[in-house]
Amino acid sequence: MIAGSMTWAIPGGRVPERSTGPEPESTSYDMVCLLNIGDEDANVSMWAYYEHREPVGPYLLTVGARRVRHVRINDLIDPEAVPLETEYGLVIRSDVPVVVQFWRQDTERGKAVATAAAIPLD
Amino acid sequence: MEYAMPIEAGPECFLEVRKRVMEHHRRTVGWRVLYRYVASDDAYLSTAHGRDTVTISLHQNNTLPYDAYFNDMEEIFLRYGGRPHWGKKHSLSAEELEPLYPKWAEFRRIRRKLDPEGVFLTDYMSRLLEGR
Repeated sequence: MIAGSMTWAIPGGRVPERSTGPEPESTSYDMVCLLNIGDEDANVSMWAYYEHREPVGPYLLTVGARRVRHVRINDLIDPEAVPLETEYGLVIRSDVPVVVQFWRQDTERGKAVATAAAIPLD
Repeated sequence: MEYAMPIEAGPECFLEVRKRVMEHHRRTVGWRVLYRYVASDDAYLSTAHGRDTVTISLHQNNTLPYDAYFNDMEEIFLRYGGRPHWGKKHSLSAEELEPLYPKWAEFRRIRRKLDPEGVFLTDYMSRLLEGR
């Protein structure tokens, strides 16, 4: 069974700068959740798009066959860390179909979680 | 940028570094701050010469602005008796480095004896070791 798509977009990124509560569990973050239900590893590249500069990437990662992987945007540093409190969008490409979900934890004013399915482009 | 402090100064220095990062640099610097221990040794210009040591390392992508971050943080390290990593960014020259190393004069005497013509001194090394 083939499930998912090979190209996804997340337009609504913005890692919250401020946090309240104990660290690290209460640190604010954006996160991408990738699900690979296929029998081959997924080689994934991500590009970050910004309001006033050219896209940055690729951020390369692998999602194993029949595995899920959650990647905090706060942890991305190669080729560049993503600045906080800055609007960005992601385009995510994989060499096999995957499913992508976006997740945000914002603890500036108490704990708030928002999540949305990414948008498949193919 | 990486600085080596006496081990006793490590925790307080780290807390000050952390506070400064959170208040002034968190938005634009996504990298973690690294903290590690190094045992004392007796190499003349070792950053751990004569004292058990804590190092605190700061990083930034070379495609992003780093001067303001490093310059602002360096002042903290120097107040805690920090010695800069020889291969990373710092602003010190021989005049500021000499008081940090008890064997500085001995090292310089030997270096000059072994390299009287300054063959192995680049401009940068001259500024670091000779102050010219």
